[in-house]
Amino acid sequence: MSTSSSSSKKIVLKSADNETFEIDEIVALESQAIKNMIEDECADNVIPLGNIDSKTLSKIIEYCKKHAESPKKDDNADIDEKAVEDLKSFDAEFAKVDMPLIQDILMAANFLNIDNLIGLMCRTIADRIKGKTPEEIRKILNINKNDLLSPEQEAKAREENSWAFD
Amino acid sequence: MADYDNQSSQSANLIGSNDDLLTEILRWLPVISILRFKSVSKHWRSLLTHHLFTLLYNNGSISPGFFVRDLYIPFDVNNKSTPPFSSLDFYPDARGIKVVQSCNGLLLCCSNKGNHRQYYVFNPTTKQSAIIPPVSGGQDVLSNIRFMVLAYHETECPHFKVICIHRIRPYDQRLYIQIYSSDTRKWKTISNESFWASYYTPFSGGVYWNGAFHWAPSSISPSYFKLDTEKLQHFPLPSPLPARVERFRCYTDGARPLYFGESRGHLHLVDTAHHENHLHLNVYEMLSDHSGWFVKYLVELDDLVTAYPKLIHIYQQPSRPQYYEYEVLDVVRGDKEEDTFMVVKISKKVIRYDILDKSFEQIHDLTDTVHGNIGPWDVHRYTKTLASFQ
Repeated sequence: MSTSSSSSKKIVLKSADNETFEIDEIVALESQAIKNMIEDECADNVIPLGNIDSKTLSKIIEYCKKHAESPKKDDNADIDEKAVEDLKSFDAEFAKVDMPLIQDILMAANFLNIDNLIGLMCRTIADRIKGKTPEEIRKILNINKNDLLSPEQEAKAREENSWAFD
Repeated sequence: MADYDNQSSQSANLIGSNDDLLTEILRWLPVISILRFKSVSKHWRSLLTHHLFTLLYNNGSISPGFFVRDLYIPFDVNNKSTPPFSSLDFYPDARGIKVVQSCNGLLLCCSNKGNHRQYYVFNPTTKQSAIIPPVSGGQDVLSNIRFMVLAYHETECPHFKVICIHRIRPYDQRLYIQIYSSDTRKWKTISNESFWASYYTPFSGGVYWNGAFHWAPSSISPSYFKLDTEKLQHFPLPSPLPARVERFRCYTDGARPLYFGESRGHLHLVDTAHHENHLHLNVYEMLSDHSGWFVKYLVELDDLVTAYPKLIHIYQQPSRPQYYEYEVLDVVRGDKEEDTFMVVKISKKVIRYDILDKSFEQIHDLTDTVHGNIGPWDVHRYTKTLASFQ
């Protein structure tokens, strides 16, 4: 795609709010969706991401950079444990953001098809909601009021699993 | 809602309507949250109770420990995963509760005392329980129940079955079979299958494996009962025969294999290998067509003898099988071959022995926790499952 003669190819991503991010191609390849676009040669120099805002996109780029730099597990069987630990602590720090941003990152990672990031965000959400009550869950995940159980069904569900509500 | 701006509630909506993402989130939750969240909405309820979610959730969940009577002992002392209980104190039966058998996450239990025991099936993970109605046939049958056993498997046998072996007269040597299914909630008599067994045949250590129910060999012709055809069939002993049964060519007079049980779809029988003056055990595995056994592991426990001198019975000759005093409590296959281990009991100590790398470690001391003798038949493995039943 790019005719650039520099040692590493660059890709430009454009967010919904029209901010552009120039990144190394290797970083962009962390996204299976972008990788497919590049391979199919249907990617322009600038890839518009109309459903991802700049705040979310910059977080995603931060994640992809780190993961692109880290040695891959399948490259080398005895990859040093320090690198694995380093990546783990990066992931843990990365996930320390508020719930709305986590949800946005998850949806964007899903769109861009970044497997590891989808997994990380899902585990983070699970960890944040595990201690909540059903009422709190309905708020956090914006559950449609038309989908609620009838009072009888809810009473039955509570009775069946009463110990889980203690 | 007030805490979130429009953009984020849009993402929340999208996540909520994307079953793949929602499932990927929910599978990481602990059991207690899953049960609680069944009342979040109709959609969540149907996702969380769906068979496929149960399979996904259970998949990869290894057995983290076992019950010795009603005490829970984790296999990994360094990484005690916390099941939602520390002991079995779940059902109000004035006579107390005893675990009869565990099968892929469900427990068959009965009242601890009395002639007419009440039977229950219990899921210790979700704490759901079901009372099994009395076997049909009236007092003659109820007073002559020889043996009850549970068959359950989340894909092969998703509706649990309880099999009852009974006489119809005391001291009668003819035994009859009835089957209860959680599907029909009725007992059914298997009219064309009855069999003969000596009054003293020790019926215990029943194992469900490969669509059939197997009795630990304890008589002349070890049998299994196939659930689909409802037929009794015989299975052979390992060949060559384990040293302990060479003389009579079968387990008899109360002799039983050192261990008989299932793990990750493999049926195991453990007995001594031919190596005088060494504590070497064969872990046999049954072929999938029930036609014979092969030696899956030869387990050389010589290091254990050095570490636990109490293993040696000082009044016995080294050539006698009774020279070593120990019990094999469990054989647990790992996800990977190197994760396979055996649990043995030496005196009051419960020891985990990793079969491939030959390392071992004490995981529990029963001295102050369980009184009296315990053997392999008092041990019931715990497996996490969301399985539910009517």
